[in-house]
Amino acid sequence: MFELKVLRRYEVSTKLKLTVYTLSFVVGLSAFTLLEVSYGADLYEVISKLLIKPLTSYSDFQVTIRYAIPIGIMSLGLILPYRSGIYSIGAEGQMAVGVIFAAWTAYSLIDLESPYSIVVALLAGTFGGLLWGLIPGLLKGLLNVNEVLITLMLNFTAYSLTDYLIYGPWRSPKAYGFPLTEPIPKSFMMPSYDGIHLTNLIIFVLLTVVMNTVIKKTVLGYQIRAYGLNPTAAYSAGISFLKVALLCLAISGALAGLAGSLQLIAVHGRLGPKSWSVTEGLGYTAIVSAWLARLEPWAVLPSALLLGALVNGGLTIKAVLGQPEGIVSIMNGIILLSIISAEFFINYRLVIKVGR
Amino acid sequence: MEVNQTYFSLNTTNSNHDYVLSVRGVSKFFGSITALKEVDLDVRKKEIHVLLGENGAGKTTLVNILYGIYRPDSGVINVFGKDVRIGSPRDAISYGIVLVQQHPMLIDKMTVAENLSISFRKLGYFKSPKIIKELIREYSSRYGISVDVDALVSNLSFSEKQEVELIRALLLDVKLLILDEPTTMLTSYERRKLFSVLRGLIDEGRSVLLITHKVVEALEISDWITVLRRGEVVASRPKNAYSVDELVKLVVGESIRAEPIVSEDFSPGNSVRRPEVLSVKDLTVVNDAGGIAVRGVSLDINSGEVVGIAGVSGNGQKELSEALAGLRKVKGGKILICGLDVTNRGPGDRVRAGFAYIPEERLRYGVIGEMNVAENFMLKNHKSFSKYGLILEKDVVESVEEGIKAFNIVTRGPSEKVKALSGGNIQKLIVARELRSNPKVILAHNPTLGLDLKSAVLVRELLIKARSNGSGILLISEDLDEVLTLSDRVVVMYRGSIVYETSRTTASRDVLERAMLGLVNV
Repeated sequence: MFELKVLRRYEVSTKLKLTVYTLSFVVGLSAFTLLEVSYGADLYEVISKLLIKPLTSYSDFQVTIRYAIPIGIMSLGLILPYRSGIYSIGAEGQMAVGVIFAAWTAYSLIDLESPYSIVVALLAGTFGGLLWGLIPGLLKGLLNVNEVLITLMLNFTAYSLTDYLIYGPWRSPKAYGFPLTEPIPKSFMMPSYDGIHLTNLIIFVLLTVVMNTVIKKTVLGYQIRAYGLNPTAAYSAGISFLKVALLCLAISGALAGLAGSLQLIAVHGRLGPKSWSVTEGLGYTAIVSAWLARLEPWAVLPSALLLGALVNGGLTIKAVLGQPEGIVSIMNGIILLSIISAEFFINYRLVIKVGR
Repeated sequence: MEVNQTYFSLNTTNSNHDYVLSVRGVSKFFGSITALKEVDLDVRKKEIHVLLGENGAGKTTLVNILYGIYRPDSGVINVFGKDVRIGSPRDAISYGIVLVQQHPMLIDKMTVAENLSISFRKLGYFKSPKIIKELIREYSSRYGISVDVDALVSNLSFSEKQEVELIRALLLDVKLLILDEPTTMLTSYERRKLFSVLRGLIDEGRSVLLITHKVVEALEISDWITVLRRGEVVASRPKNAYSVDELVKLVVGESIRAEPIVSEDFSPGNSVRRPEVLSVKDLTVVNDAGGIAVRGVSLDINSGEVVGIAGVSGNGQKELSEALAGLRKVKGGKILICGLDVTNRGPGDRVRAGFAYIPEERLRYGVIGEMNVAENFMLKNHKSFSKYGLILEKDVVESVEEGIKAFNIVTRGPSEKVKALSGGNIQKLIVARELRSNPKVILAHNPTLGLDLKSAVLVRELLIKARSNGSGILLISEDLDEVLTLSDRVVVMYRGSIVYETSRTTASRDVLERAMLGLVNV
């Protein structure tokens, strides 16, 4: 006789939570590895390329950091709406709009002196992302429109806007017919030290501290958490939902815009379609990173690093093992799924009884 | 049965088979808190056994243990003469124990028949809806319950939902029915109906364990009463072996007046004309189903005055209070707070105008269970605890600790999660928070519903104190005695309208009761 029972847990320790989440991450990663192996890849090669090399080899680690920074900054932003019970998936589009705004500044203020130029471009990019976040913020706050749909659709709108620019007015005549823009002026490019963009890294770390304070110590953070934990009580207490929705989505948009403009002026230097794109789907990876961090700002530091490594490794696998285009998205999806299913094991206990 | 053997411990005691349930020495600890200490409880066949005690006495903990939600830390549970381990509600049901919780656990968006189908495992998964409906009708008519099997659960009243739960228990062939505070939301008519259904169950040879904190109710319905105080059984005897006074003393632990204490400066009819703080003009409000719930209600409340709204619940009180609190749109009429028109504005504008709200559904509207005591304490005034947008934790904690002391809130401290507090302490926390800012208007909706005697008295006294401090109070309560004791003016609400109005000094209980049933037209 074999019996499986699902029992509710009433007291959950931090240790248990940590264990379950770590295990769920490992399970997700293993599932992805198995998928790769079923494609005929070598198990050892997959693990080494996916996770070990991106974290241990110095040259790969530089690339890992390059991905971790935008992922982390966007995750920090996404924590705000998630904590307030608003499920935005719009970081990708907000990032793309940030890129457009930063590039536009660079092309129109070509004569501006560095380092002001960099600051101006970053501010413009941040503002662009903020605007793109205000749209779902207003719709959610005023009319309570479903934010998942709006943010998702705005991502595609932002992609189309990018496509319009790179195929149309911004297309460079010198790019051998490729739909690429002109490189942005030198004075707008962020310097790097030994392949690592130290300024970007510092911005990321500082933002982690700031967002940690915002969530835990400020009036805004308190109001956000109140809405996330009991919206009716928060509303009855007179906390404005419009304010919370608007600020959460605007700030998260602003951070995505900042991440996008940093990627543009530090890494890519020009806009392009698909595999040349500045956003590279990192706006979606940031969702995984935010949840992996359990919506804790400080925990975004390790989770963004880990996902940076995985994105880096995933792209390597795609190139080296000749995998299909969507392989990194598949990896993101599998990991997010296993982290979310971990919630079940936090709240419930499985008891297996084997007896006569 | 062989499988179930594994659940049974080896020392099967040879206990009396007349006992349906026999609990011996059950203890339960939550951290350093002792919730239950060496509790014994025996429920006999064909008995209505009342478990009586204040909020926080451990009644619900014991029920949760009997229903397999908590595990006891020590002790033995014996069902029909066999020691059992109840690991889940499913185990409990397999032993014939069914719990009807305080708040019905039904799926709102489904019909009665659909809700009950879930419990029809024994019939197999592919029974036709027709047969299921027939069976429900058969059961409900047998026990004198009238329920529309095709009605959506969201359209049912509280007592109808409870009846659906009772039918479910019967479909599961309940041997021991446990009811956790079943009467808190019932009118006296509905309560009598429930009790007659319970009597019917007993006649069939089933047993009932009823949990309550109401002494009068215990004496009314029970055969046997077990009194629980601070996690310990302090008495267990047949009903007739208690006197009322003795029972009250056993429950509370010290002698306390059953009536709320009225402070000395509480002098109704104080004829000094004070400014109007709340003015409701010709208010019309629609309920969820689209029907008119409040029709043309007008009310004026002055500073330093309590206006009580009496009435049987379901006559528009809920919609009226939600509309006043800004949680429900108003169809017609006006609401003014201190002269400011707030009619269709949100709660925020009301809070700023000096409006305080003690809601009926306190877990839903009043507190955030997942947040701690301090965070809940500052829910309304968190901006006053901040500087440059940063929350001044020290100030909050200081203020909360003061509040905990002043309002006698039992908690492990400011950082305990509110969901861990008992109902009475949650209510005290809400009252402490709402009164903190010296509000101009207080809307209190059933402020002592479900509270134990001590907490209820304290809450009432606090309202009286707020009145002396100049707050205008609108008290909506199903408890007529409470309305009569606290109010300067009493109005009666019936079918959404105010049908009778009187001052406290001229109020007659008889006339009010008749008005509540719609028998007076003034």
